Amino acid sequence: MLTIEAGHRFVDGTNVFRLDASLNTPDKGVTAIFGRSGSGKTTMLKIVAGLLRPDFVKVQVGDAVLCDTQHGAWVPPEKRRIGYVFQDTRLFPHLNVKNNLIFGRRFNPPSDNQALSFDAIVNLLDLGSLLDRPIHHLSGGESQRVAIGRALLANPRLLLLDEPLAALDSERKAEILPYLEGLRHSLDLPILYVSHSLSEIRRLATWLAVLDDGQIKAFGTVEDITGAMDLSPLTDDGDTGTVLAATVTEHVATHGLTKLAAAGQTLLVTKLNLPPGAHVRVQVRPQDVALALERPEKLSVLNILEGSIKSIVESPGRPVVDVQVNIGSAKRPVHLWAQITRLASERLGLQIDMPVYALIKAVSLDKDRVGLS
Amino acid sequence: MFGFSTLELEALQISLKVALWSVTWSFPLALGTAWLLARKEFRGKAVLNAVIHVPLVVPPVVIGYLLLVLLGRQGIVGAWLNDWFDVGLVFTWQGAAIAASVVAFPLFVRPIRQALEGVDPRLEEAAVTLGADRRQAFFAVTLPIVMPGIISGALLFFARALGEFGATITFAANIPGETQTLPLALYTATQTPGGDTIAMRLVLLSLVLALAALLASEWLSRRSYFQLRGH
Repeated sequence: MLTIEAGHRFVDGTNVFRLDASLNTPDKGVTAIFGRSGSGKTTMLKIVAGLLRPDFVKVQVGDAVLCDTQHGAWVPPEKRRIGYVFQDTRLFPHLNVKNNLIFGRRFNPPSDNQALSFDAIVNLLDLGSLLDRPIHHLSGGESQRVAIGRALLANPRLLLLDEPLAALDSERKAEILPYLEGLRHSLDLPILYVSHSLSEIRRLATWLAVLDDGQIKAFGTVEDITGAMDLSPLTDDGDTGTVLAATVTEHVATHGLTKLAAAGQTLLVTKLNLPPGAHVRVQVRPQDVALALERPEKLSVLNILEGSIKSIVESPGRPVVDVQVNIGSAKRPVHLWAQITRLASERLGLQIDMPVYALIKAVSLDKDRVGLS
Repeated sequence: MFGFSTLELEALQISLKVALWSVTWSFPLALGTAWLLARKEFRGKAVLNAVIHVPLVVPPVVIGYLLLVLLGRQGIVGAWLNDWFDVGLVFTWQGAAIAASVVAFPLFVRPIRQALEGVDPRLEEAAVTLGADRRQAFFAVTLPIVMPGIISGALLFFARALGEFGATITFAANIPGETQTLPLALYTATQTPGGDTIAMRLVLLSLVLALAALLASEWLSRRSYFQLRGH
């Protein structure tokens, strides 16, 4: 179990920011911390790492209490063994890749129970050909891989990743995501992953904590939280939606499509290279979902899911409304968010509990939105 | 040796002794001062900065005279040193080294300060998360990165200390075999009838020394540059 409790008041000129966050996560797997910039994500990581000393804090990883202001416990940051991967990598410019990687060794000699050796980490992150390179000869993606390797080689008990992909373009992101997915499976330690991109979170995280204005607003599995909460007001770039758990049922080879079962209904997506029975996650962006009151005929949209309206979120002055639709059963609800204009909502006269059909184009569910869980 | 007289060799030896000794004990002071000025905010920072730079803008004789007032036998600190430790600095080569150090000190601090200001302090933060304490982080990360600045500061300082004249002659006087450095010996030679040959030999000696120092520092900073680039 990883326990984080932190309270602090930051005063910067006339701005006062209050962080009052509390989080308990399992001791394995990736927990994403989601929130817009300025919500306190990085502050929280710095507090966990001991780089900030707030008014009140308790951090416990497994049995190790790293700080607890109530009992006067404080382990200095250099003794915490918390790997920190910064958004701007912060590689040491006077050292080559290899010496950056082994920097932490001087201070944390490798222990017998260390899960991953130097060679294993070099293989995992594919750094073999980079070892002798000076770091100013690395691309953005390569630098970030080296930074991750450097953090792991310091033998951490917890890994913090602070938007490691935010500074990269989409091509570099696509290059580094598979490595992060690989880490998730090979590492036996808890990982906190700060991000404001749901597509990254869908691929990497099991758990999701939503941070808004210094407070943890929700915590749970990615599927539960994205279904229960409308995330779109909490991000700046619009990469949100609902993550649905689904299973591959069959391939429609003649048309290059794959059939999935999700929430007891059928979902057609563009072809996946996965065998039937594989568990996948589908990210459905709210702007890709349309609503209809009757089952439409003669329509190009392939996915027509039956459901009923659970809630409608509107705010004054906003031209769009977010509609939460239960596409599961009453007993086992599965929620899907649809974003439609307020005009459309008024014309349809949408109300809570009204039966509706959620329409999702299959082409919007391509390989960037669907992947192994 | 090469026809140099004892007096000339002594002047060379004293010059080297004074300059090397000055570099050695000024280095930690210069590093500490540069670090304070580059990384810390404190009251009186502007005053400290100004005081350090005074020797650049006043005639060295003024510095020599101030040292005499401060560290002379009857001086505020000098009397105390004399009474308690039986240490006298006036008319000694140590005195010459102190005069040279004070005058050259700002030249040592400036390049180090500028180099430090160019280093992202967040690199040390990264080192701390990797297990280094603050001190280790400074010595393992920041210090190697600012090494070219340290070398260039040390060279400027060394060259200035080697050529120091005004403060030295005022505070430590011009005593052959004790405080007579190359510039002082050269000055004496130019004031002596028939001293032209001696003066020319001292000039050559000074030039060779200065060139050797330049070449050495060039080699050192290239080496540290390549290390910095990770080659």
